[in-house]
Amino acid sequence: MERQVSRRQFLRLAGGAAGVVALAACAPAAAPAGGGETSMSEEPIVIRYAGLDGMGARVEAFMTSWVEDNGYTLERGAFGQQELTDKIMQSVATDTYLADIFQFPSNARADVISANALQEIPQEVLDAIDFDDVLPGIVNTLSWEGKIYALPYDGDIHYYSFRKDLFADPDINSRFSDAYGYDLSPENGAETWDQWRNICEFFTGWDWNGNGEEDDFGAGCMTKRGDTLWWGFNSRATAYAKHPDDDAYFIDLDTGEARLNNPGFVRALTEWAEEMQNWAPPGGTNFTYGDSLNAMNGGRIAQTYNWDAVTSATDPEASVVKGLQGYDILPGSHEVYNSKSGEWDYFDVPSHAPFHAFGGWVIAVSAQVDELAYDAVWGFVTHLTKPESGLAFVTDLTGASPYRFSQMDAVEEFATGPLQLGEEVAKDYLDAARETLDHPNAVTDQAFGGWVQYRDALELGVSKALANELSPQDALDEVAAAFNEISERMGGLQHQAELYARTLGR
Amino acid sequence: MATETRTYPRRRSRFEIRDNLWKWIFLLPAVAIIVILLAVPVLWTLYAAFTDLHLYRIGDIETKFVGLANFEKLLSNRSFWRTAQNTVVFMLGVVPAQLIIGLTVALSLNNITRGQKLFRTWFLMPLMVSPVVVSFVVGRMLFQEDIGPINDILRNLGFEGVPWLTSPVWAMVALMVIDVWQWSSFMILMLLAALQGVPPDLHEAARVDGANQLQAFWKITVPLIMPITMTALLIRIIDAFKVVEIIMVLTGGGPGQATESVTLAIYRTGVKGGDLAFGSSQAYFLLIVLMIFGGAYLVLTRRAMGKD
Repeated sequence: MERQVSRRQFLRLAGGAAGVVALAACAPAAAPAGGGETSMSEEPIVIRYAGLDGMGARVEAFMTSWVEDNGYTLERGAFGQQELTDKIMQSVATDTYLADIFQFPSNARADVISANALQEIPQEVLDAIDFDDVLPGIVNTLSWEGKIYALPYDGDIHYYSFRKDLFADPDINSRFSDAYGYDLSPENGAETWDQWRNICEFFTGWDWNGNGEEDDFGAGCMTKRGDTLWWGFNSRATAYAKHPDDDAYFIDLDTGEARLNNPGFVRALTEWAEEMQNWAPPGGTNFTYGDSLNAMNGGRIAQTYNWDAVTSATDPEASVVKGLQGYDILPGSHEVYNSKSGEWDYFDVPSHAPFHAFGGWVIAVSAQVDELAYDAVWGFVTHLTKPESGLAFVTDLTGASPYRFSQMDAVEEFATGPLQLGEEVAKDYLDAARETLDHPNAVTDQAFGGWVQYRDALELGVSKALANELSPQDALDEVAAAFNEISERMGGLQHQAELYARTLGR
Repeated sequence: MATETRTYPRRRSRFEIRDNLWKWIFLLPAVAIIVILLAVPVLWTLYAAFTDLHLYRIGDIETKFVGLANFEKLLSNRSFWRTAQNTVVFMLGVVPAQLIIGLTVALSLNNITRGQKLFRTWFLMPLMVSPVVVSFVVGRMLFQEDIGPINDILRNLGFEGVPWLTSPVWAMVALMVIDVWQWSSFMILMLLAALQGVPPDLHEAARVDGANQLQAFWKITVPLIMPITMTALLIRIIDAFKVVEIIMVLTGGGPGQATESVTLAIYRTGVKGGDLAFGSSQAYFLLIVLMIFGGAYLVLTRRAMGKD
């Protein structure tokens, strides 16, 4: 007879003592109060917030006056990116208290929300922060089965960024036109990935940045396994592998089978490997997110795609491209692979499938919120995410990106506020953000449970192809097999397909 | 005058606790701590290895016992064997190098009369730095292929830059360099202590008997420092099998899977990925291999030194 215990029973009972001791050591000193009426009026109200160190410090600085004005105390737990995710996932899996409010990656929403770890956002809070103003692409990252469980404060997505000044240079443009038969576009950069490849090749190996050395390259992307390769590759692949008539991208919604080895993904990986091996700076097949950003800001590459291309480019200490970059939606493709028919479909107008890479950090209230701090906690998140605060947050040097319709119209604030983007760059940036977040064929990031394992499987395969250990087809065959195996371990292909459908808002 | 002393049987108090019992009472806290911190996790991990436990499975899916399925999967998992191969290559690359460097430096330090303390402290400094810091500063910055100082120097000397982090072979070399740089200090420390324990009169006697320096080294020094050397080697071999931090920071296991170690794979599967069942089976596999290796190593070492 098969003896069965639930995952939670297993964790509670078998690992109970050690787990509780360990997590208690990690948690803030005081446990959530039981909260009687008498004690409530006497005890100081403490709001406990767990978040990224850098971004959390900015939240703290931003919220300090509100906290003090209301007579509360803020205790902030600061974590590194991976550490924060691990802490949250462990607290969710073991049903233990971490903080009243926590920041978490929206990819983990299925894991976190379905474990009943969060409070549903009350309607009065949604009304108070004018939730209808939030772009649909972001709303999806906050929801589960039609209910809202988290609030936005960072519209993290990948933008395409390019050297507008170079593309507008008549001499450079004429040489490019002679070589490839069309003009560079200073307004949009590469409209398609074919154009991106032409630009990669053209700008490699000659001194276009005028430093006296031929150490300039066409592009640089995030390619390091264990860093941000997942997003680097998927942003490159969506235009080929996401068909406008099909909601699914990673796995088939009917069968749950992985799609990662279909011709769309294989073409993307084949091209990407060639680009990163030949037209990126040395080490380009092992670049971190920061490496690719530094290469762009340092004036070594002509184009890239990334998250925080705006804030870092404004730093005069670290950037030589302030005001010189153009921004746009990720390039598209005339040919898109149709998984249903097994054929490539041709589109006269390039089909875009912008990847909502990562989807942003979101903020949520724990189901185990300290009862004493209940009202204070909701006040805190309301103040942090309401339109005025949100605008101030994304137009400051926080690294947070816009996520509201109203923010997309705030050209003036982005142009002349702390970011000092200037009107032209601000307009470009906001147009790219709006188009990406509001795009009908946008690709939602993987969030259907077990995402860390899927991510590692894809990064391993793609990394093998980038290192020429395996051909792109063989590497992606391994990835697809690993995806299916992970799905089986997570509850079966159909089970994962159903979860995927839910993350797509179906 | 002789005095007679008489002994009387000691009166036993009603509440006296026998010596043996006291030993157990004093041992109890330590035993309890060891049981809680060591035995419970070890047993719990063993239990998990025979289930399909996954931290992040969504929905009402029961955790069930799966027998040896995780171990069967492990044995047929090419990816895991690749990490095992990488780990052995890494160990074979770093431990002999650390022994040679450690012995050379320890012999030099043992023979100098001035500044020994200064140099000893100096050589031990790498040991005091966190592996993560070493990997970032020595690794990611020095070995950066594009603008890193090592490649910069090579290019200025007219050579090609080395693909330190993007070539499977060079990435492994870079990791070995970092590990050797940091952990040779440990060998220096251990071997210097061993050398300082060799009685100088043995060398003097050998010289009187006509032995040259090399003969004295092989016949006197080496046998006398052998027990500590073998212990130090065992510690370093086990550490090399468990390497994880420098790989995470420097290469992330790449390019491809060229530098992923068993421990990093376990961390990714069990801790990050939440697949505690498969991660536990990998961890147990590593534990069993190390126990067999460590046991065999100790037996063979004792035999070689003629202690059995």
